[in-house]
Amino acid sequence: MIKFENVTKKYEDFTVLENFNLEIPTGCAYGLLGTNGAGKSTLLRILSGVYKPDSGKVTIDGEDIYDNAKTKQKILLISDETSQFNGMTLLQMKKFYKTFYAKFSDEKFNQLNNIVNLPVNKKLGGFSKGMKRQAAVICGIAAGTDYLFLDEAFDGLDPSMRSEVKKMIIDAMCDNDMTVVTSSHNLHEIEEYCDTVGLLHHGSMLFNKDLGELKGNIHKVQCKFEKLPEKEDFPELDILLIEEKNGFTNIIAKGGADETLEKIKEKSPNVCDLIPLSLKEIFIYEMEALNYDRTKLM
Amino acid sequence: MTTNGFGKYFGFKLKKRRAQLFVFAVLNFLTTILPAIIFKNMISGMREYANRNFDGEHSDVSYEFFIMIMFLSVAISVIMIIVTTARSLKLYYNRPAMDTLCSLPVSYSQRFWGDFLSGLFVNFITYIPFFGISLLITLSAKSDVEYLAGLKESIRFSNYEPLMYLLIKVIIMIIIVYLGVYVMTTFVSSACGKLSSSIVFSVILMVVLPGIFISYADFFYSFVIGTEYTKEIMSAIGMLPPFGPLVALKMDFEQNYFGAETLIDQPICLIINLVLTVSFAVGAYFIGKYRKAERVGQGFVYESVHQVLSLTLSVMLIGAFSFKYNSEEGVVGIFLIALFSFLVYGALELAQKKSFKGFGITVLKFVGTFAVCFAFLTAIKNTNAFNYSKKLPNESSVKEIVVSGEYFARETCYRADESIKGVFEEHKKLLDEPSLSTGSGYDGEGLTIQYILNSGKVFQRNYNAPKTDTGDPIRDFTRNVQKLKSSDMGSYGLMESKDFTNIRAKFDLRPTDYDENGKAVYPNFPQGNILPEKTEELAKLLRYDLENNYNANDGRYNSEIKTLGEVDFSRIDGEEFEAWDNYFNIYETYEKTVEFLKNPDNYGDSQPDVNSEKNYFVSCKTVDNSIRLVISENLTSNSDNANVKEFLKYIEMRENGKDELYSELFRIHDLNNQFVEYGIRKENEKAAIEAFIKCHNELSVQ
Repeated sequence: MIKFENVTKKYEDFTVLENFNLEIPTGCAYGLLGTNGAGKSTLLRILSGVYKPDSGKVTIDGEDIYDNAKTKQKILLISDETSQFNGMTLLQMKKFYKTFYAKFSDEKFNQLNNIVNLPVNKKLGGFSKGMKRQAAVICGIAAGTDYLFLDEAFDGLDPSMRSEVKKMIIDAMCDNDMTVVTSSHNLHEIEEYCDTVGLLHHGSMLFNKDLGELKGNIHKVQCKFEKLPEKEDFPELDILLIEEKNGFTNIIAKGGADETLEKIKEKSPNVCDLIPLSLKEIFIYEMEALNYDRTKLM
Repeated sequence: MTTNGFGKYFGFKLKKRRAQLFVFAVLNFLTTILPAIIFKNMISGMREYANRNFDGEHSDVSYEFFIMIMFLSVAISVIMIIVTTARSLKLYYNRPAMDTLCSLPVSYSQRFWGDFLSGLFVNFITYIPFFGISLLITLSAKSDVEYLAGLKESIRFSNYEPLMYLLIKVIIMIIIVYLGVYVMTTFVSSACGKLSSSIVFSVILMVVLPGIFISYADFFYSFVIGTEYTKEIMSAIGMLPPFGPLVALKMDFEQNYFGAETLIDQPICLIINLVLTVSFAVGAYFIGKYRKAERVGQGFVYESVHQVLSLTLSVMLIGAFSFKYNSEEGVVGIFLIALFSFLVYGALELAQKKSFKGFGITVLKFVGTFAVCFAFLTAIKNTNAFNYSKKLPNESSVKEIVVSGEYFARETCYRADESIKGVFEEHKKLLDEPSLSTGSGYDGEGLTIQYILNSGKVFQRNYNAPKTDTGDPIRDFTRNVQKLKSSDMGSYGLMESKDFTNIRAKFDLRPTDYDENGKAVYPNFPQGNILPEKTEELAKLLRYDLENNYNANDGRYNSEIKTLGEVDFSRIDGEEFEAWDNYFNIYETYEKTVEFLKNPDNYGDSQPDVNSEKNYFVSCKTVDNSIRLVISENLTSNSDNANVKEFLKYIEMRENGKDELYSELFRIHDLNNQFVEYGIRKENEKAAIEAFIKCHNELSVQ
């Protein structure tokens, strides 16, 4: 388990994290969301033992992570930049990780590389961005660590590369019971394979929920009324938003799906369909309910 | 610290720096083995030349050539160490590298020592065996060096032995310099977040450390009348890593040539240098440990380090420019000093901040620094370096004083308490002389006063003062001091020194034969060197003569004391030599002289032939018209001595026009260079010599 307890981290004149608390259970695929500059990378670096928190405690499986070589055997950080390996071939990169990670598996490495077919003797400086990211993910997964931290793992990848990388991560999670923490500002990507998401904003978590629970608890009903209804028309429902769009009325409400649909149908709309919400939409509506300007969040 | 993570990280860094290992191997070869090879070849060539009786051409690779190669290699090595060390610490200035390396399962200590020791290994692993090889090569020339030094005909060959050991010491010293460069670069890089800052400020730190010392010492000593740099100051410079040892060697070399002291010759300075170097390593460890990794990419992780280095550089420049512009009075000079110093400081601040935001604070900091430095420098100037010129050693701590200069025929030594007191009084009077300035005191100019302390240290002052119509302060000092009772002559003291007897005497002797063109001819006498113990014996004999030839009225030794023979005892001065009248003429056959003088009866077959060789009298000049033989003074004072009486029987004034009857070397000169010839008739010469030897031996200090 990953645990942040009252962690504060400041950069000169601004506070990145302030009395930050978070728990990420083992085996979880955690998506860390936030705008640019929200502190996602900082959080991952603190988690990886790269940065030291100004106060508070960060533990992995109960052990402090900072300057703790033994605990760091359990974690591996794949940074958003892989330029430090430009002078190495994939084989050398593999040897690099194999040197430091006792559980590194050549078999796993070869298996993954057979999927993406990266050249092993070519310097990574000659790889495309996507290829470099793939190379890093292959090595990261083959290292066999319990925790894998990915900073903007999919940034700049084309859709097919993205898919490949995601598949590798998902397979690794299934095979090794790995805990993965991925940071991104792309909700769509996080939605596809994370089971828990958190939104970091101004040094604290605005949002930290199980994705299934999140999705199961907020719904969008698209219907057609002759007159745009008001929230007060549905007193039993926890309405987040009612809006008119393209001739339809969209009602965003929290609660059970069936109950929400039933209550709306009682008002006899012409059309009434339950529309699945994307993670993005869920966040937007949740934040607006918290009086946050959604344009400043995403 | 477990070795597991350290070993892995160390191995990883070594692999990364493989290529550097080769580069440093080449540079270390050029710094160690190549100079040794060149030295060996030079010595071999000179021996070959000597064996050919100095006939024909010889390859004479000059010292300057291999010194140039060596220092060029050192310079390149220094640059390479700075750049490669800074670049290897990528995690300090490259964010992706920081993320990867700092997240590895390696502790900070393992990572730091892995970086540090892998760099040490790469930089120095080849230096050690190459130094061993260079040592073997250099020392393989030892026999040739000794052979050449034993030749009487060329003084310059004697320089090869100290040169040989100087070469070895410099090669050892260079690795200490490299170590300092490496450690200080690591220290600065630990405080920086950018590669360019690491490199630039590493160089700044290395320059500032000795530079600030030298620039303020230069300024200080420019106001101290009587001295420039003392040995203590040069030694202090030598303590400062990394370049202090080289700077101090250069300063000492200019004065003492191959007798210059290196850091290796000064154990305490070596220890302090290494302690400071280790301190920087420890500092690098802790600076790296507590640095905020998030500041990577910023010029300096610790702003205080940046400020200290930048301001210290400014302080150094203010001192250096003040020394340069010292002669310019007034506002212009001050303005120029401030301007040049501020340009550098301002540029460093702008490079760090990348904007003019807060530049007002920058200006204020500089103004404050400048004000403090300027006040200090003004105080030095106005107080004549805090009256350091007037500082003299404690009289009770002085063992002897040696004075030389324009009005001294030779170095004069004062040991008696009254004499020491007298010199102090005259020195203090001289210090009040307003026209007094720093002079050379050598080569017959000015005045040099050396206080040799009981501890062995030497406190020296060199003065000059212009002669005017109204006075000549140096001459006045000389006259007053010469009235004091002197002890031994400086050169005499030199003769007593082990260095002199062991080395100088061995190498100084040469025949002064001249060809028809007046050119000195140096025949090859490979076995002609004099054993040191023999020169000691001769020195003792001559000492007796000297002591008894002292004229208390003038405080001078007025005699030329000649033993018989033709070999000049010459002073070595680099590759030149000059016949120095203050030394004694020692004849080629003096070895026989010593034996004969000691034991004339048992000299056996080696007894010199008085007809073909010179006889063994000494002759002298007198200060007044009284005719006084050195021996005769003793003889006079010992007129009851039977041997003296016997000897005196054979001395008669030579009759004019009847030179053929007498031994022509027997002359008594007066100070006007007039002489009266006293001779011993040829038929009496042997008997006179025998009598003379007997009374001389009896009266000599053995």
